[in-house]
Amino acid sequence: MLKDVAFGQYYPVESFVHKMDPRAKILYLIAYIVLIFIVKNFYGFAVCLALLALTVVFARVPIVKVLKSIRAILFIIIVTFLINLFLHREEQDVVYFSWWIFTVTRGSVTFATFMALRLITLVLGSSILTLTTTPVALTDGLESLLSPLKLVKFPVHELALIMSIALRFIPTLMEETERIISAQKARGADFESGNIFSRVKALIPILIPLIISAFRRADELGDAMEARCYTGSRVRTKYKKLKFSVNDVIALFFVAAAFAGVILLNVYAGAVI
Amino acid sequence: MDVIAKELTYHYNKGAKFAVLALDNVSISIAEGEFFGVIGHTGSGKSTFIQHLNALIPVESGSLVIGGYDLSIRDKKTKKSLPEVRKKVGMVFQYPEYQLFAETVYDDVAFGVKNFNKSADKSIIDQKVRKAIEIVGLDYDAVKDESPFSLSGGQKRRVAIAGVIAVEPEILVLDEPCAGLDPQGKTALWKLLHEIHSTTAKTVIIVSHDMNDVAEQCTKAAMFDGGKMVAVGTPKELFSDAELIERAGLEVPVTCYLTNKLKGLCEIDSDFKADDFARKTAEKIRNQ
Repeated sequence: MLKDVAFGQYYPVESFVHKMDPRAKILYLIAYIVLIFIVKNFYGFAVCLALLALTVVFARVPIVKVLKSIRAILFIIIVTFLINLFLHREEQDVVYFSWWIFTVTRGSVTFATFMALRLITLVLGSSILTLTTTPVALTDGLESLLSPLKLVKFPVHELALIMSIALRFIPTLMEETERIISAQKARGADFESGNIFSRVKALIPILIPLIISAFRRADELGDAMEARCYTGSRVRTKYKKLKFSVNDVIALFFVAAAFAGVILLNVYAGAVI
Repeated sequence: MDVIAKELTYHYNKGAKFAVLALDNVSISIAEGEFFGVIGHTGSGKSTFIQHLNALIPVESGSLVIGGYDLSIRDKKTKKSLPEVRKKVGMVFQYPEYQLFAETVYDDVAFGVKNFNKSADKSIIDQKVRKAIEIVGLDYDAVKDESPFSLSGGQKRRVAIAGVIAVEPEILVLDEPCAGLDPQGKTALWKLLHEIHSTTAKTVIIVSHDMNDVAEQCTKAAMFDGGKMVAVGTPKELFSDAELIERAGLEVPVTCYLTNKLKGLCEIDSDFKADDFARKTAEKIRNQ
């Protein structure tokens, strides 16, 4: 039931992209997002999609898994598309349809499609990162990328630790939730009938034991860490050090090529928005 | 109410890549009045089996009849009768104290009673809650307004058990009721369970992997291994075949171990309960 909820949707296969350094992947994702926002015409999007397709092929992740990520924000995409379609206005435009405050024009169709494409490519790109990088590698990468902030006394290591602990305990808490739900069901708890208020109230017997157990686990984990003399960032060394590899350089070449392509297209192919 | 399971089979994540066979053609019948042990090492399917009894896991294939309720038929009528089944089959999970949630002991114990008797008078609920708290050996007036979280571990477990027996189930199922208790708490809990067995619940089913407890407490037991039920019988029958027990990854009770060690020196035919074993050994020594 709850276990079916895809979380940390890491897809475990060996591939070119899986072997890349998480820092490189995060930086390239940021570059890719910038790219999506500077695109001015549909040709530019074709370049972005080509880069995306190439990454999917090299990541050996089934395309269905990647496309699934759209489902989570499908509602947002549809709503923004409709709002843009009916309410976007441009001067001197061909009007296709008009009623009350709603108008559909050539400009609004283009704009709405453009924005929807932007959202879709954004989500697809990010999902490739989480599909090919374990949560642990991801936090490691973030920690390393944020480490310059240590100069201004920002607790980077602690932040990364909090993130990895949170990620680590999500499956545990889900299991616990299921167990508590079973226990309360056995005591006749009914989560499925009644109006919204009684349903919310029915959650109390699940939430309170869950919160208590989360605190208990936190206590125990804290003790266990102290028993192992964990003191935090300063003296800690790493068993697995992050290293850039030749894969990252090759990928950089493709990202740079896409950048160059998009900028050239922006200049020479004209802007639609 | 008898429990009759026939060829019960269940997979976790059925249909998915990672489907796990948790129960494999389990046929078992548990007669009313038994103090029944379900034994097996971790992952043998025993917890999956007992969750079927409470309809928390739907029957996938095979049949399961509890009293007059056929849980293998999936229609509206069965779905409607689920609360009744859950009322008659009380289920105490492992570490039941982790399911406590209410502000007072009274409210927590009354939770199940109120859920199963929606239109009951407050006085009837009061009476049931008082009775349950007293059965588990706590002082009703002293603890009823306490927060359950302020109690000791053993007391918390008693409150959690009270929450289930307050509903007055005919069959009481407990998953590892003694896990994490000290020897004194354990002895007291067994005594309590036998008391419940002789008063409110006609049948008690316990899951355990301590064979000493099973030999000492149960009238009958079934052994699970790898999702299959590999043996069923009285403790005496089960533990006579020490090899079978060990093949299932379990340890025989101490009395059984000693009986086997004494083989050749003197044959002791006990039912593997400590008292009986001691008496018969003493007799043998006296006679020889």
